[in-house]
Amino acid sequence: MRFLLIIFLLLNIPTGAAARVIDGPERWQGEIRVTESLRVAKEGRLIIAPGTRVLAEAGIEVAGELQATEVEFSGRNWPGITLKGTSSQTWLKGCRITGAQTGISVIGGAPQLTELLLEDNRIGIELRQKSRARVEDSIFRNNSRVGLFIKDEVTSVVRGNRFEKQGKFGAYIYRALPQQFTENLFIDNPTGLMISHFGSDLLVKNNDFRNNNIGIKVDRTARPKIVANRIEQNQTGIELYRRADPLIELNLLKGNSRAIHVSFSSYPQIRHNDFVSNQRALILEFQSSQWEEQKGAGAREQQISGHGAFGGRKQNEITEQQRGTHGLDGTVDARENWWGEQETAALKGLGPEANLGWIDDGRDQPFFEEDGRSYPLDLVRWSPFSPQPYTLEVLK
Amino acid sequence: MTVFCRLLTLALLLFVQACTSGESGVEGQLLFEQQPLSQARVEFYLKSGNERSSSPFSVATTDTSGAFRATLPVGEYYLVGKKKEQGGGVNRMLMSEYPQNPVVVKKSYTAIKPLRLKEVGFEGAISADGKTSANGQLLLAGEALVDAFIYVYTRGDALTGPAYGQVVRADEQGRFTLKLAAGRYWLAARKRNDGSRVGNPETGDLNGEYPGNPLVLKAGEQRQLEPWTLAPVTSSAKQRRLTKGKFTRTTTWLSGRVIDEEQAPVAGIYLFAYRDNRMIGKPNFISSPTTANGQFTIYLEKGGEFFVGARSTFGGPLEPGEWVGTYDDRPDHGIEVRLNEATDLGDILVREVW
Repeated sequence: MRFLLIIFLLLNIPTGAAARVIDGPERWQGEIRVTESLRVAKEGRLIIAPGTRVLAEAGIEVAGELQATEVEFSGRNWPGITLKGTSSQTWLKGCRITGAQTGISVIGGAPQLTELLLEDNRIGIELRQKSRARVEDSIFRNNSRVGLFIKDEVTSVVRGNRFEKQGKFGAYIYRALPQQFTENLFIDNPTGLMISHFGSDLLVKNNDFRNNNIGIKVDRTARPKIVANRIEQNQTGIELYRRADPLIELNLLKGNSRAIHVSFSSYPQIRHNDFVSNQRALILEFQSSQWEEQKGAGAREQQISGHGAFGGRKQNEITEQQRGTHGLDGTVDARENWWGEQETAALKGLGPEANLGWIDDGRDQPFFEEDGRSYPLDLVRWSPFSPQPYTLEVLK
Repeated sequence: MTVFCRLLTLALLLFVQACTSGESGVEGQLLFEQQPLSQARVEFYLKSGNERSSSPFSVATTDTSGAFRATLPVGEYYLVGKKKEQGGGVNRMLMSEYPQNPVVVKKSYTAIKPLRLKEVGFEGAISADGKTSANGQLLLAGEALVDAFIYVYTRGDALTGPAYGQVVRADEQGRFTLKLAAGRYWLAARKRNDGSRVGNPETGDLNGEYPGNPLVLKAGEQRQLEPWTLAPVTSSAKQRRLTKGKFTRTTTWLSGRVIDEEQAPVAGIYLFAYRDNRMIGKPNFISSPTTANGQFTIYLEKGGEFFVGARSTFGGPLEPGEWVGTYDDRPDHGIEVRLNEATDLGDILVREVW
C-alpha cells in the first residue's frame, strides 16, 4: 500500500491526536480525540473509516482532502470542521456532527456533503465564498441558530434535506444564489427558509414547508422565485417584508393561519397558486404605494445610515435604483389564482372591486398612520381568478 | 392706513419668498480612472474630520454619465464620493473627499470640478507614466501560480495591509504586468485559499516578498523580473507575524473579557481600538481573537483616548449571525489610557445580530 497508514486502534482509552499538520495521507479508525487544532494541508489527505468516533475539543481545518463515511464527530462547543477551497474529492457521507459552533464551515470549493445529521450545533453547515458545495439528503435538527447558512454568492446545490426544529432558521440565504434549492422539507422551525438581501434571487422549487411559524420569509430586496412548493399548516406561509418582490407561482398554500403576508413596500407577483383552507389567504399590512413613493427611499437611507458595526459605517452596497420600486399603482398583483372551492363559488357574480373575506387589504382598512399622517393601504388585484386549481398536476 | 400696512407687509413677504424659493444645491460629476462613474454615492456633510456626523446630511446618486445634482439649502458642505464595486471575485471601495471642501452653496446650484475617486487602500496611489513597467511570473514549486495577487508598496517597512499603491492579479500562466512610473517599489504577492484579495494570510495561504526588493525603475524602463516563488504560510510564521505590527506587545494595553447576554465568555471575538470616535474604517489597534475564556488584550503604542468595539469578523457591514458589542462605560465607548499602563475594561457584552 502506497499510503502511510496511521491507524489508531483503540480498546477503551481514547488516544490524543497532537496539534499538527497532516501533509500526506493519513487514515483514522476507532476512537480519536482531537485536543488541539488540526490542519490537513493542501497536499494532505485524511480518510476516516466508517464507525470512527471523533471526540473533538478543537477545530479541524481541511485545505487538502477529507473523506469521511459514517463517522461521528462530537464535542462540547467545539469549533467544527472547516473546509477551505476543497475539491469534490472532499466528502462527508452519512456522518453525524454535534455540539459544534458551526458543524461544517465551507469556504469556497466544491465538497460533497450528503446524508449527514447535523444536530445540536449552533449552526449546522455554513457555506460561503462562492462555494459550489453539494448539500444533499441531510438532516438538520435542533441547531440553536440556523440549520444551513448560505452566504457570499454561493452557488451550491441544496437538495433533499430535512430541516427540523432549529432555534431560529431552518435555512438562511443571505446574498447568495444557490444553483438548486429543491426537494427540501422544513418542519417545526420558527422560520423555515429565510431569504434576505439584494442578489438572493434563487429558484425555490418543489420544497415542503409544514408547521413552521413562518414557512418562507423574504426580506430586504430579495427577489426569489418561489415555485411549486407545498406550504401547509404554518402560522404564516410566506412573509414578505421590506421591499421583497418574489415571484410566487404554482404553489399549494393550504391550512395556514395566514397564507401570504405582504408588508413594507413589497410588490410580489402572486399567480397560478392554489389557496386552500387558509384562515386568511392574503394580508397587506403597512403596505402603501403612496408611502413608498413619498418615504420609501428616505426610510431606507435612514435605516442603513448609522447601522454600522459600532454605529457609523454605511452599508451602501446597492443603490436606491436597485432597491426601489417601479410603476407603483396602489395594488398588489394576485391575479389568476385559485382561491378554493367555496371561495370560487362565492366569487361568481362579484365584480373585480369586491371585498373578499379571505383577503385583508385597503378595502378592509383604507389607511394606516405613521407620524401623524395617513397613507392609503394598497389593494389586492385578485381578478381575473382561476375557476380550477393549478397544482394538482404540478405537485403530484 | 392699517389696510395699506397689511397689504405692504404681504407684498414684502411675497417678495422675500419669491427671492428665496429658487432651488439651490450642488452639481458635478464623479470619475474613476478617467471614466464617468455611475451609481456612485455623493454624501454631503455639515462638518469635516472628527466632527463629521456618522450620517450624511444628504446623499445623491450619480447617473449613467457620472453626473449628480443635489438640492441643498444655502450653506457650506463637505462632500465625499463613494462607490463599492463587487464582481469577478474582487470587492473594492472607491472613495474620495472633494479637495476643495467645503463647497459653498448660495442661491442657485454650485457646479464643482469633477471629483476623481480612488480605490480605498491605495494610500500611496501610484500613477503610471505609460512607458515604465515591470513584468514577472509567480511560481509555486516550479509551476506557474495562477490568480495570486501582486501588491506594490511605496514603503518597505511593512509589506502587509492595505497600504499598497497598486495591486494586480496574475493570469493563467502566473504572469503579471505592473504599470508604474520611475521610482522605488517593494513587491509582495499572496494567494489566499478563500480567494480573498485582502485579509491576514492564514496558515496554508501562499505568501512571498519579491527577492529583488526594492525594485528601482528608471523612466521608460520595461523590466523583466526574475522568477518569484511563493511559499505556504506556516503556523510558526503566522505566530511570528502576530507578534509584529498591530499585534506587537507593548507596555500599554487594554484587556478584558467578552461575554454574551447569558454572561458566558465568547471566544473568537476581535477587539478594535479607534482613535476616531466615529469608530469607522480601519481600526488603529486590533486584538487577537478572544480566548476560550473570552479574554483579550489590545496592545497600544501610545496613551490617550481610544474608542473600543468588539466584532466576530473584520470589516464590511454586519452580517446575520455576527457578534458585535462596544465598551459601554462611557456612552461614546471611549476610554482614557495612560502610557505604560495596563487598563482593565472588565466585561464587554456582545450580542448576536440577526
